Amino acid sequence: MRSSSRGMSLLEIVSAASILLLIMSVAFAVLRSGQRTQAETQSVVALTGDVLAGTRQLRKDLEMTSLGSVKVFESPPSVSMAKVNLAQPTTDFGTPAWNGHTYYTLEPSKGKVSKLIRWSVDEVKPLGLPKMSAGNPWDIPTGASKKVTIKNLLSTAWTIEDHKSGFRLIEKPGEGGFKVRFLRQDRRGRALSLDNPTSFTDTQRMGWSAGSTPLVQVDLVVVRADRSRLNAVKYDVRVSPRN
Amino acid sequence: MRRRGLSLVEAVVAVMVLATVVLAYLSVARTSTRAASQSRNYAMASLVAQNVIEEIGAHIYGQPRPNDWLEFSPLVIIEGRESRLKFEVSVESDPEAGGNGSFFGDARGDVDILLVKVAWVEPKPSDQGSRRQEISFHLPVRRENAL
Repeated sequence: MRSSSRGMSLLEIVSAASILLLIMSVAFAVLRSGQRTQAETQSVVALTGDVLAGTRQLRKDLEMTSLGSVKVFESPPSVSMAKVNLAQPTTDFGTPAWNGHTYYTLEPSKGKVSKLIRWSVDEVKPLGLPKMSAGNPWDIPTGASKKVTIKNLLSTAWTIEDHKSGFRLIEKPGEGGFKVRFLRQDRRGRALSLDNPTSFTDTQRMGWSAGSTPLVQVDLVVVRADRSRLNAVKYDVRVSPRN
Repeated sequence: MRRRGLSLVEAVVAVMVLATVVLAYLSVARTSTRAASQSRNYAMASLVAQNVIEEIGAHIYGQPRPNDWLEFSPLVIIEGRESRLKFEVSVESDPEAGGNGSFFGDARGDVDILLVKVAWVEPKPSDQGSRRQEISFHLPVRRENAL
């Protein structure tokens, strides 16, 4: 029997190759798009989780403290505040039972991120009144309880900059770390300061309007720097200490 | 045995099936991204709402509202691009719920009911415009020394 099969003509080969190329490019584009979408979704979910989880503890500590006990340190950025004994929150007189201080400090991690560490330091004798800590955040006694609150804060040496190609991190001190400041209203408008307004003298307090709002503001920049493109959330938490 | 290639109808059907699968995949991926973004926006809005509650807690009862006390502008960057998210915050006394405006000194009284609203615009797929989202709640407030 004579076989009638023959090879493909040049035209057939070129057509087949073009169709294959077209299908391959569409498939590649779809896969790339799907991959990008999945990465984006992952980043959004992870960032939201980091922001919410990290903020909860910080907000709770600031809510439960007394404004007068909040002490802000600029360099390295850290803060301390009196803490209530959670096992027995009130004294026999119904006032908060202060038993030590909570510190928040930054611990450099690998790459461009730092960890926000919460330290809980108990005093030997319970405090009668909520006072500022005598100790410094860089000199925390051994044996203090340590917990990582946020594991991917932008390091103090880095800043987010807007470039034509999109946002990216540059090595420049600025927005990184976390900043704690006191927010108040005076006649000129809102002002942020590192000094606790409860320790102001009468002269410093002049100019405060009656509608002043004694709030503590914490600026945070959470990043996910593990990917080639930047994912970040920059936000501030405002808290009015209750006690 | 005589072998033949695909007919035009068969080829068109095959391409259509492929296109449907691809479109379905893209649509699912887009929907999932949109759902994640919406959930993130709600999370950011809840952070803003918590800040508003703190601002209200720190405000002295009966004093006028400060000029710029409700400005919150979280910056969200996803894959190097800014995800524009502007929150409009309003805090007003709600007469329908029994508010009288005394919290901001507009009336006499020791108790007020505030209506807090945090609104933002949710971008929708290009052909569908955008959709306004909102978190709103009532917050009762009272003068500290009131009985």
